[in-house]
Amino acid sequence: MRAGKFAEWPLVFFTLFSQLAAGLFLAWGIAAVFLPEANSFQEVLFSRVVLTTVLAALIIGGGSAAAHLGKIPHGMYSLTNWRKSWLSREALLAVGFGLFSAAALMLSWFLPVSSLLFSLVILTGCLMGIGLVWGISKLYRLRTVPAWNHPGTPASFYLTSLLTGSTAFMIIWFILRGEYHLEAISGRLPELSGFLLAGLTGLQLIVFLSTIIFLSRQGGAGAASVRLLGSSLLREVIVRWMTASAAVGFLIWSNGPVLYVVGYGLLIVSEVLGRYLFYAFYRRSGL
Amino acid sequence: MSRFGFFLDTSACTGCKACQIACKDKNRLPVGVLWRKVVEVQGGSWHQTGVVWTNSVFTYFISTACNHCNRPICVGVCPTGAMQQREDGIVWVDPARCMGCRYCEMACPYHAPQFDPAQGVMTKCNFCMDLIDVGQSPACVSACQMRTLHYGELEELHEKYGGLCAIHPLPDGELTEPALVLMPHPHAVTDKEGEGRIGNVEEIE
Repeated sequence: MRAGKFAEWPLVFFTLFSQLAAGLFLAWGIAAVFLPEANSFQEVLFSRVVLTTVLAALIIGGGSAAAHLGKIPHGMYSLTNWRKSWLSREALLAVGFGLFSAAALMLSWFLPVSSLLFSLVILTGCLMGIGLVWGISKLYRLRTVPAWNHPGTPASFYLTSLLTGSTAFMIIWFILRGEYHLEAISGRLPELSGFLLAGLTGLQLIVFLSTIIFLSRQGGAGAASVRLLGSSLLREVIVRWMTASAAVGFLIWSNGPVLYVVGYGLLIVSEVLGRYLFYAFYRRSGL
Repeated sequence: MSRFGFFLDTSACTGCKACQIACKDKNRLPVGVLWRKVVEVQGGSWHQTGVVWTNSVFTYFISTACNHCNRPICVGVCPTGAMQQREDGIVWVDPARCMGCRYCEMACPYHAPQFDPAQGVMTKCNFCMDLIDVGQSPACVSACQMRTLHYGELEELHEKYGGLCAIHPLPDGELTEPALVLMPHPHAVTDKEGEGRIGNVEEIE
């Protein structure tokens, strides 16, 4: 990537939307199988809205990835070099996860979500989503890019997936909650999810600070990346974490749906900024 | 089969860029695409001792292109298999398969793969393999007026000139094991953080 104008927005949106899709599928899978009112989340309408959102996010992400290419018709060859390239594996995982999500959506017309087969479908879909996020993180573990080549990268990607996916899940729940008469835990779902999202945001901050400390000790391109965060990217770093802090504040102290949705929105903005910073502080060893 | 490699005597390179121009001319490269770049490294300063001022100012040049590495990271990351390596070590990119994702550009520590906006694909030095295959020299080697840029079988270059393949600001040779042998300039530093800085950053970016 060259110095000058930031040109990686297609990759920012591809990775964010793909990870949101995986996180949303995972959040729904856990809710539909393990929460006390799991039957609410197994409802056909709720399931179909979630799965449609997953597919829409994958399509938007895929479109962004295609926009990044110089020769889109050659994109089909990206599925062929999976023996060597993590980018090829990631493409296969994304296609597989997408096909699987589409199959689950179609299956919802024929089988109840509570059925054993559907539970297996959910489990497999969750594993594929987890694999997709792993594949995305692996392709950035380049030995020539210290800013990306450390455990903080997959940790951050998984946290983003959980944060954005859970946020999308809660937004869908808020929109559809009038369809359900929810008691007990579901009545407290926004409150509990607020604490969960706050905790995940805190972990994201720990990963960020650990990354800075790790890279500062390295010298070379790693230290150059840290210097960027402290100079030309400092404003974005501050805005990112102030937005995240505001989101946490809204989510923990909210007393109504409007404030929760504001919190969710700020969280998404914060994650977009975080991903922007991930690409912006790229520095390669050597020339 | 033996591998080809480049040799560069940075103690004698004048930075004339005949190699760069020859490459651009032979391969008809568009504006903005440089398969071979001449990196200008500058450093030093003036020092006062009593009333006497002395200077340690220096400049040296590194003509660099693709180094056709033994562990080419570009080949390993390419999702389409467009980036390939021949048995003689020459790394080349097949434009019929490349989708222009620029992943190789992200990975290469020598900034060798260059995106051509007109074609929408990655391009790079291919060691003038069309000339090599008929027994001729690469265009850059033929053009070098100071005879500081050579090519040959890597093992022979190692025997003649040693095994140095990295000086500041080139990356650590262990990253990709480049097929490159260098004669260092007296002011070149072989550790990771050198005294000099690149004086023509915008030109080589």
